[in-house]
Amino acid sequence: MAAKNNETQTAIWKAISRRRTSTAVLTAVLLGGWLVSNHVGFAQQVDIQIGDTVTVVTGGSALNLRAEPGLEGEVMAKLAVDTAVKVVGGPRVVDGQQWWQVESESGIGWSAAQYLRVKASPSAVQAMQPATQGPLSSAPSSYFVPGGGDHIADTYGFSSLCSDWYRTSHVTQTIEAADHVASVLSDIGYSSTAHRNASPSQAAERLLHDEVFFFFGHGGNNYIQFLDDECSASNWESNADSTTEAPHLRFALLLGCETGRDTDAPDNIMRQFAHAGADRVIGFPRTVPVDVADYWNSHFWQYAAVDGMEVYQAARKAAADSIPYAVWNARFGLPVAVVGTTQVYLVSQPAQEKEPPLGRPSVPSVQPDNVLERWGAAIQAWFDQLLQSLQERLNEWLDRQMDNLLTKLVEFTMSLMQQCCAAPLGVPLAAAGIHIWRHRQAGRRR
Amino acid sequence: MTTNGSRRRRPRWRGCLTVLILLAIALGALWVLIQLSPWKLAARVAPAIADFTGEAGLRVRELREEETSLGQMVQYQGQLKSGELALFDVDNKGNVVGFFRQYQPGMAVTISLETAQQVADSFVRQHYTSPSLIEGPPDTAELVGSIEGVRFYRFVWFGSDAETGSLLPQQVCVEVSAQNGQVDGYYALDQAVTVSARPQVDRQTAEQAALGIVSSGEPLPAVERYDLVITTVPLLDPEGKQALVWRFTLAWPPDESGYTPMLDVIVDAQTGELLSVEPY
Repeated sequence: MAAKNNETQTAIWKAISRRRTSTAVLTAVLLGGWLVSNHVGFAQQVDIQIGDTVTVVTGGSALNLRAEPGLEGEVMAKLAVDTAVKVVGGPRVVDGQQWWQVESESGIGWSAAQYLRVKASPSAVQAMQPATQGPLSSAPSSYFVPGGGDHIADTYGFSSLCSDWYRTSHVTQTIEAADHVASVLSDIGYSSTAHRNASPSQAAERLLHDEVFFFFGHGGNNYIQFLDDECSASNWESNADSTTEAPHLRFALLLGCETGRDTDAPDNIMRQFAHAGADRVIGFPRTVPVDVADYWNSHFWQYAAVDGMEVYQAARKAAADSIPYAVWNARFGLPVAVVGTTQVYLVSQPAQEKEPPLGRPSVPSVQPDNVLERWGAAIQAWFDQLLQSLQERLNEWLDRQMDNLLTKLVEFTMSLMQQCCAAPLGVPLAAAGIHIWRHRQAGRRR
Repeated sequence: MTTNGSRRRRPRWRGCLTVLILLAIALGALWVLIQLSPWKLAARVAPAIADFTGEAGLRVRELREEETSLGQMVQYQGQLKSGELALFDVDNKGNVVGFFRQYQPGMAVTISLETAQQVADSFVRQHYTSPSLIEGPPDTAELVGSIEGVRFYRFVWFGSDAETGSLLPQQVCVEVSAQNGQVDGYYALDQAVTVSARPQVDRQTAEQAALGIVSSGEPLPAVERYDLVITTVPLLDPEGKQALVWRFTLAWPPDESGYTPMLDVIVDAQTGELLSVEPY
């Protein structure tokens, strides 16, 4: 085994050298990263052990059970979300992914580790704590960083010429909010489009490409309501059996009353978006006036997209703002609910490539020719992440230094102003006095 | 170039004067620059924030200002000794009225409600400015969280008029981490009441005024909820005025799409005038 590892490392070294893309330092870092990823591993991979019962967590689609580890392995069966399987072998690292041999009702096969999670038990939950607290404890990371693909975002607001007074009364707010959010997302690199009126089918079609989905309109626990130009209402409904195709979706904001009333219900609309693959879905557990929702929304995007605050915290803080600032008392409680698919979510991690589920067109991506190059790509990604982290730390340090410098300047200036405030005026006046005195003396001499 | 022996040498003091004036201008410019700079330091509020956190020498910087119906709010960001970033909302009197710790919430619930309440109680008594509001236990105490497992306890004290029961613009909320028992959020509202809390218009009369918005022939809605409340009208408007109002939440039967139309109708409790209609 050790010899095989050495061969692998040598091969990686050769592969990298052939491409002439590394320096000695880079290579050392890459190999270090390789060693770390091999021997330390990611939190979710470390937790799985042979004998564990794990569940499928793909975010909605079925997980392939393959005859052999790796993407080339023949697909034996499809494992639905939440299916419990027993780990009987592995892990094996193939195609840049870790694979576990699992026993299911369909037989024994191999599945990608990143879609398996040890069934939650108190001890398992405790074990996840350090990973949960890691990246944000020192500094917030920006959640809204386009992570891959075309970075498409769609926002929906509704304007109609409906005669129903209760609908026309908030025509501009949802539209303006959708425009605003699209603009914010455009500023940070998304290709975003604001839609004024749309049908659920149009939205569902676009959702196939969306990373971010924003909706501001009427809603309920199991639906969001779309309006077309003729004021015709159509609901995007959720039920326990429905599925939503959203292979790229990371974030969905369903800004409608009671979209989060019962997030544990199987037919909850937020849950449906989460199962479609979104890391975070935000909705409202209660009925909320449009003004308050609008106020919350503007604050939320300020915190989450501009300040880079973690999404859940941004939602909490915006909710807190909207209560006292609105002098609206807390009968609405905390008007925000968040649903996610992953318990350990590292917001500084780039979105991981998903294995294309069966029956769905594969996501276009660069497919390296062989295993070694795949490893090279994986290590490169790790290195990029390391650089990004270093850059963030450097920025923080510079920021602190700038603050220190400015503090000293302010203190210096203040003390100068306090102690020598007369100097700027006194000295010229004294000089003028001397000048006049000399003139008078000269005149006397003449 | 010719030298003119009769030309007098420029007096030396003039050069010094020029230097001094330039220095004064430079200092002034620097001062203006610092005042306008995005890194403007909150020298004015730093002591208040340091006092609030108990961390002397805490550095903060201004993030943004906002005109609200409660006056100007300024938000500052600071880094606590623990390394965590925190947000501070400061009102126009220099009081810290909001505190929010930015951290990655944990999932485990290791602190009991009673322990968390003690923490909240102690914290609120230390920082909230109206002792009468917090004499008793909190009006609501709940464990808040999502299915993600993020958990914290939330305690809220509401202000209400003892005689009429009208809700006052006074409340304080403390959020305590269910994982480590530290205060993660604090939001205080303590607005001076400038209007009478006793209504001149009774609820039935005000309700009729609220229902008057419904066109003839339209089905009448149900009054789902009503409150007597001192609030700012119009809602969220920085130019809004404080008023004692009746607030009625009207709800119609669900339409064919399943949507339940709802409105809040605000009626002046002193004059019976319809003030605003807030759609949901």
